[in-house]
Amino acid sequence: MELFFEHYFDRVYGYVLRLLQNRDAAEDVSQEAFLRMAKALDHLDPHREPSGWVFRIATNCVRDHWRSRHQRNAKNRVEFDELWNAAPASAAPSTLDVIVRDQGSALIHQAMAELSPSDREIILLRSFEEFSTQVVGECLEITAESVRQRHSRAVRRLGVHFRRIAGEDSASP
Amino acid sequence: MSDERHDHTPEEREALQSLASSKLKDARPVVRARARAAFMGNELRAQQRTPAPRRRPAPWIYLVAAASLAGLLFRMASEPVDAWNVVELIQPEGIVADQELVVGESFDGGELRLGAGSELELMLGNHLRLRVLEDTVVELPHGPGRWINRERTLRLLQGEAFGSSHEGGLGFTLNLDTSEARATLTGTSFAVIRNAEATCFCLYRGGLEIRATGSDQLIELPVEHRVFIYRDGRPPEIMPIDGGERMKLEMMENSRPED
Repeated sequence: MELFFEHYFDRVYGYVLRLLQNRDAAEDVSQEAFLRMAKALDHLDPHREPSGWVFRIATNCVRDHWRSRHQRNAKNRVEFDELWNAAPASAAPSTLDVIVRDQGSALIHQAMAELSPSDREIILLRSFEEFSTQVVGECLEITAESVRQRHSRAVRRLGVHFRRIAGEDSASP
Repeated sequence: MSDERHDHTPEEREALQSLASSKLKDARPVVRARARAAFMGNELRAQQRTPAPRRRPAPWIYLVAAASLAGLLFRMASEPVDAWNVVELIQPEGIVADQELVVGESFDGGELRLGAGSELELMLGNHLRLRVLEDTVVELPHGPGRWINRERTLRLLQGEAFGSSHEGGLGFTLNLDTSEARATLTGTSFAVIRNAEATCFCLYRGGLEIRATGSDQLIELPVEHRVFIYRDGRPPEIMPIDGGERMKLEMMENSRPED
């Protein structure tokens, strides 16, 4: 199990950090995700590649984090999708230097921060982790065809934001 | 994902390449250590909570269980439902038994040796009253079993024993054995006496079927009669009971077990 932890911790932490764009929150949520994994190990199918299972738990932890944050901040209950799509990125430009190592990374993270969390999820799982549509579907509990469509739309939006931010960056003195 | 990559515009591809090459700062070591401890600790606890997989019992387990059950049932069926109970003791110091005899208490049976002057009266449940006189050696059986082992044998080696059964019958088969004969009780007041010359069965009420040892002849003794089965091979001799026997048998008849 030590190997399991070593193999997945950095990947899960990176995924959570890219979603939340907040280091403290990412550390808490990652720890919570590994706690849940330990408790749910009985349900892990040893004959299947565990990445889908691992990232589904991590995704659910992030969503729970957003949900609890929203419930603390807003008394009125709203539908989860509405909440998810409305959830603001945590990253303010001033926090980027806390999470990224270099200036080149800052641009893409600013662009990612412009996306909705659900767009960020699918881009990170499909384009960064390079999971198959089946595994991404398992993580997000949607069909492979939905993964393709949503990923395509999310990448299009990312490209728009990235071009705009890069243009602004190059235009600035 | 290569199929989708072909559809991307140059800006999208650049954004994805930038994302793929982007570097984040690692989690702080203390956080990593805390997460590892939480994961490993819970994993250990989860392992401890996980019950060991149930193993299918080996076939011999079923055999042993069936044999144990059968043994238990047999023991239940054959265990004595009644014990002898001591009603009266005269000169108990002259009685030798496998266990101490105390009036009002029970004992399991076995050999009894009564010396001169000693007498003993017993009840077997509410089925049989038995009086054993002095100078008698007798082997008392255990009480009848609950469902099986319901034939019991009282063996008289020497001396005299008088008995009377419940008027509704014994509810089990009781044989009276000596070396010379076997009598089977069928609800009766009886006596069995053995001396150096013969065994004498006396019947006051009820019925007594007697078969001499080695003989096919069945003797059905009339009431208030006695039969002598001689050791020397003489034929059995039947005659009315005498005054002394009558008195004792009347006494036993009057104290027959009742509901």
